[in-house]
Amino acid sequence: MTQQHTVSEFDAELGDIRGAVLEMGRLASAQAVAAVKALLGGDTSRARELLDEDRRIDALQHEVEDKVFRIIAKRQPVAQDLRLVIGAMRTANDLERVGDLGKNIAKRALALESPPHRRLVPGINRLRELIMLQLDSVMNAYASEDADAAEHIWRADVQIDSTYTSLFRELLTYMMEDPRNIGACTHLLFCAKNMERIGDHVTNVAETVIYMVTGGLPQEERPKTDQTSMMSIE
Amino acid sequence: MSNSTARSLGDAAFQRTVCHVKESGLGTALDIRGFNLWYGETQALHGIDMAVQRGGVAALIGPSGCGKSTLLRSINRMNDLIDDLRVSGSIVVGEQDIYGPGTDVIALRKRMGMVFQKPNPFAMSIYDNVVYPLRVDGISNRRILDETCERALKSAALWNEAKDRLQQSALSLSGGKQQRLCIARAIAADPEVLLMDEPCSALDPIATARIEELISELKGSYTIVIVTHNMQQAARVSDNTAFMYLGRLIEYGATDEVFTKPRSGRTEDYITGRFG
Repeated sequence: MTQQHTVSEFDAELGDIRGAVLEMGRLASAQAVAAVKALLGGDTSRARELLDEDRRIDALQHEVEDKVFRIIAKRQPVAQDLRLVIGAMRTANDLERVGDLGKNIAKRALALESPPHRRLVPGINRLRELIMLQLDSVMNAYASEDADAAEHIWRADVQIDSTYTSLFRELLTYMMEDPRNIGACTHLLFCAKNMERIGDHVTNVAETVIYMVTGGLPQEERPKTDQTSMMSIE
Repeated sequence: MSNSTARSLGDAAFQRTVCHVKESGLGTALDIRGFNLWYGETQALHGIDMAVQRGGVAALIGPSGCGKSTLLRSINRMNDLIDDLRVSGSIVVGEQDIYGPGTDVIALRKRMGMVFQKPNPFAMSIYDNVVYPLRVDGISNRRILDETCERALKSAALWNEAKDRLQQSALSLSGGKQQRLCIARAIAADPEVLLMDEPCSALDPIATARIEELISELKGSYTIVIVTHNMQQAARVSDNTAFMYLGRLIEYGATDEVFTKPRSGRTEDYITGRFG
């Protein structure tokens, strides 16, 4: 933004909204990391705690919505201010979904009860690292209103898709190798799908950042390499 | 939607007006080209290029002293009354350059209705106010006057409230109704262009909403140019918005775009309340 508003309270209110969204991003990222750790470590008590912690993200989403409604009613924002408040609301919706997906992973940890076989761990961890890098990067792009960084993140989702596809194949192989793996691998497949969905929400946030800064959206179709929907067992 | 840039000359250097006008499809009613205006040695308008779409509403916005009222008053040559005033460039209404030689200013003003900031009904009856421009024009036929009065009051959405009290003083009306009466008087002469200089600034929100509703009903039949300090009003009522600053036209474009994604940083800073 080039200058401060003449009414400084307007800047403070926009800052409050931005702060709440960034806090949501921090919590959603921490929750997803902790949920995967609880799953891979078989830590059911931590998984139970995480189910409760999601409420804080939900509450923040309501707080962002309230603040956005109030600022629209009071200030009638236009142009970049309007895009900023609408962008905050969209981002908060995506982060709330990220929180739900983290919670779903925690639920899988409860269902799994014990840690999965160690050879199943690296693939899940690889996907987790990619997702967290993307999520933290997109929140940095949001904070700094960096459309170029957001576009880079938007394109990089292709890595998540291909890692997910590769993990999907790997888990299928384990299930075919030994039917006793089916239970654990199915839970891990859902866990992987939840992480892949977090990646999709990250790309939504990246699009929102681009919209907030430029007023437009990427012209081209986002490259996608998730082939799991067309995969068959041979 | 056209997407061009028009050249706008300043004192020493030139800058370009960012132009992205939404076209009405009815052509241009008012074509302002390279228009400059000086009060003595002080230049108040610098190379204004602006084509107002026929049947559309164009809003002029900008901080106090930016020249928007000066530009509006140039369109019906009200500024002629000011000493030491000079202009260059052209303002073409229909086919006529209104600053061209031999222009009949009285005849010109009949083609322009003007509504001011404060309602200014004359101290006479509602009926006499509305038909005043016709009487000045020498029309005394009662049937024509009656029909015009009814048509103008209906167009100004005042007929139902005024039809049973046409002979009462116009000053007995509320501020909002007085302003609608002034609009009725302005359109009684069937002008080509309606000029409105902050027509709602002295009205309460309900009366303001009625005037805005009236503007949306009148557009299509009339070309309207409105000066307003209320940016939300400009966003609500106009098809195109012109942002002026220091006597220059900075951006002139489709209102939907100006208020969501302005192309000039100065417009952005002004409409978002960062200066002005």
